[in-house]
Order: sequence, then C-alpha cells, then structure tokens
Amino acid sequence: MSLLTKILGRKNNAQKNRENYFSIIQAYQELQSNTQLKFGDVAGLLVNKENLEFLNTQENNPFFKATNTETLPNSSFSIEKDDHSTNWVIIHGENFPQIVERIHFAGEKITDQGFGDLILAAVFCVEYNSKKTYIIFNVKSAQFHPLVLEDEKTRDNMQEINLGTLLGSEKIPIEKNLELWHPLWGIPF
Amino acid sequence: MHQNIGRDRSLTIRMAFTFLMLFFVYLLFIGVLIALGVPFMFTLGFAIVMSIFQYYGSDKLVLMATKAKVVTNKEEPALHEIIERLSLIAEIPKPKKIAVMDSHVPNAFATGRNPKNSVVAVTKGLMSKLNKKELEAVIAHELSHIKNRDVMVLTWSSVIVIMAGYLLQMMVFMSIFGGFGGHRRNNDSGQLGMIIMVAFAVTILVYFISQILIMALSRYREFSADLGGAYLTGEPLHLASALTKISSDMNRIPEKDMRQIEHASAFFIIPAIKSNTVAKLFSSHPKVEDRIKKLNDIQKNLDSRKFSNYEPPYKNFRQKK
Repeated sequence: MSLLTKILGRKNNAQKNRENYFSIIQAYQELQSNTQLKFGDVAGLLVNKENLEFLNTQENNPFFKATNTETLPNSSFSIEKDDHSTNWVIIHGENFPQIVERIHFAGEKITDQGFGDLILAAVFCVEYNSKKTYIIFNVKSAQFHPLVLEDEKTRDNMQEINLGTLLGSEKIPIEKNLELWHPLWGIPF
Repeated sequence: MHQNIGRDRSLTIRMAFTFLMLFFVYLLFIGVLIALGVPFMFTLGFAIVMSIFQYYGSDKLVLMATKAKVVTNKEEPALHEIIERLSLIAEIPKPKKIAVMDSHVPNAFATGRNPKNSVVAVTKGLMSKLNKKELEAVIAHELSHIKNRDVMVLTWSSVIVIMAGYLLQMMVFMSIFGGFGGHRRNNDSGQLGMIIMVAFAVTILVYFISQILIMALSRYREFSADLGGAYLTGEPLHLASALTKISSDMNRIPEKDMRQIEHASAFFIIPAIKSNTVAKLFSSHPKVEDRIKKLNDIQKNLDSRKFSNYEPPYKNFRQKK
C-alpha cells in the first residue's frame, strides 16, 4: 500500500474487487432462505482465449494438483469452447460458497499463467422464480448483474430488474448502468 | 425528418448523425463550388434543388438510416389491420409504406411529406412488449403526426435552416470574392483560409441554434399528437401505459452479448456521450412524465364527457363492426 493510500485510507483496486466478488457469499444465506432465489452447484469462468491447453495438461494442471490437496476437495472441472472463440472453465461444487471460492482459485491460477487480463466474467448458475438465471460478475468493472432467461435467446428484463434490486439490497455491488447489463448467450451449463 | 414516440438513444444518434453528415456534405460541396468561382445564382439554384430532393426523398432516407424493412399485408397482417382501421377513423389515407425495424427497443415513427406518401414504422420490440391496446395507442399517436402534417412542418423548418446556412456562408464568401459574378479579387491565401474557417464556424453555430428552436417546436407538436392519438382511440391511458413501458428502465438493458462488446470496445465512442442538459435542449420529445400527466387530464376530460353520453369515435367504430 502506498503512503498516499495509507493517508487517504483508500483501498487499492485489487482488494476492492476481491471484496466486491466475495460479497455474494455474505449475502448467500439470507437470499437462499428468504427469497425466490435458489443457488446452484455450478459456475463458470469466461476466458477470452482460444486455447487453454495449459489447464488440460496434467502436469501443469492447477486443478488436478488442487483436487488432491485440501484446497479443493471433491472438485470437478471441465473446459468448454463456445461459438465466440472464448473458453469456459466450468466448476462444480458441493455448495455455493465453495463454488465461489473455487472460481476465485481458478481465476488466480489463470492469472498466474499470465492470462489474467483475458478473464471476462465469473458466472453463477441459479434459479429465480423458477427461471434459469445467471448472476454475472464482470471482472473488469468488478460489478454483478443478473441474466434471467425466458428461453434460450430471450431475457426477462422485468425479472432482471427485480433480481438486481434484491441482490443490491443484500449489499452485493450491482452495476448501476443498466446499459452495461450485457447478456452471455449460450452459456454451456 | 421523423417523429418517434419514445426515446431510443442509438436510433436518435444515428438519425442525427445522418442528417448532420448530409448537411456537412452539402456545405462542403457548395463551398467548393463557390471557391471554384461558380456563379452565386447557380449555386443557390443547386442548393434549392438539393433541398427539394431531400424533402421528397426524406422518407427513403429515414428508412435507410433506421434500417427499417417495409412489410406487406401478408407479412404483418395484424399491424396492417390496426393501421388501416385507425387511418379510416382519422380520415387519412392508409400510409403508403408500413415498415418494421429489427430492434428490441420499443419505438415507432412516422415520416413522409404528406398523408398520401406517409410511412409508419415500428420496432419488433414495440410489437412484442406492448399489448394490442397499447400498440393501437402508439400507432394512433403516429397517425396524428401524419394528420397534423408534422413531418412537413418540421422538414420545411429544417430546409429553411439549411437554406439560411447556405446563404450565410455565401454572403461571407461574397465578401471575399466580391460581387455575384464570383470574380476573384483577393488571393491572399492566409486571410482566405481564416475567413473560410469563420464562415464555417458561424454556419455551424446558426445550424445548432436553429436545431434547438426546431426541437422546441417538435416537443410542442408531440403533445399535440398525444392529444390527437388519445381522442382517436378514446383511451388516453393506453398511450400512457405504452409510454411508461417504452421509457422504463427495462429498455436500457442490452441484448448484445458481452463478448461482442469486448471485441468491439476499442471502437466505442458513443457510450462516452451521456445524456445531459445539452441533450435535453436537442431533445425532440417532451418529458414522459409530462406527457403522462397530460394524458391523465385528457382521460378525466373524457370521463366527465361520458356522463353526458359521450362516446369516443373509436368505440363507435368498433360497435359498428
């Protein structure tokens, strides 16, 4: 921390982004028990890179190593390409907080390999009012926004606004500019 | 020139950009003609011809700028039916062209130099997000624009502005080149460049001030189309609820995939231009809240008339059917 930051008491960006990201764990319990939001057991990391070979080779595979340690017990992950020349690192877990941790772990490993700038979003699969829904964490802005699906190619804007308000009320940082609530079509999980 | 019921920033920007560019192209062309020593009267005649061309071609220009696709009765029977029925009640000919724009943002516009040659265009979003009554209310509003000949009024005001711009520019050039014959008497290139720049700056200033005035006129005519549309259907509150839907936050949520934005972000300049006071001055539409308030007043007025057995024309028409 620089002297200036110390004096002004400002948090640096990385720390702030990290806090924003993990705020969803703090809100999870309340949202799961008292709202129409049901958290799932799968999430993905969207990486703007054609090839994530390094994750697949066993010897370098941070996930492979991690699954055999206490860091990520019982984890499973897969990599899927999509039609947009992007890759998804898909992670399953036993409960939501665990998935949030694992996605963060995966992000750190990809960053270690020098591809941190290519991570676009962390995406959590949930259900809202019985509709397939994703909570998207935009890595660049470190803000969340919802994507509630009507069907494969249609989003339910009204429900998204409701969900955005709901998440915001639990102190999850929600992107204020609705024009930046970009969807991600064809999420493979 | 067009009239649209709600606000669609990208559409508005595209339209404004098209007309602004057109204006600059004319200006540049005329400037070159004068600089080449072409006689003033010839240039003026050319400017008038160009303006007339724009006036007659404005509908095609707007359709091109908005990428609206003209649809037949077979392709969109429900839309054609609503427009035909409401045109009949409004006592205007059915618009020559009915078009659909491929946008999820609900919006509509009417254009064309007179009722006979008019065009009504709606977005796909308008058809999917509004119910039938609301869609009818929006179309009634657009038909009121046609009936009021708003497109003609606003197009002519713009033509006058453009002409004023030309004349101003020419007068400045005249002071350099002297006389209406266009004979050069001064070849001092430094001074010439300076005067050309001043001429352009003044012309652009005149253009912007005139635009502010035209937009004020447009906002007034918007209220008048709300009133006309409301009386046409006899149900002003449906237009109010359509306006609420059109202007709501929901429509700000994009459809474009985050990955596409990521790939194109280097070329983005538009999102940096946010709405502000300047945008309000140039806004062709009054505030939605004000419009809804006025529509509620119309409803109250209609209600009071209902007690004296008043039946709106639209309902009479339906009963006859």
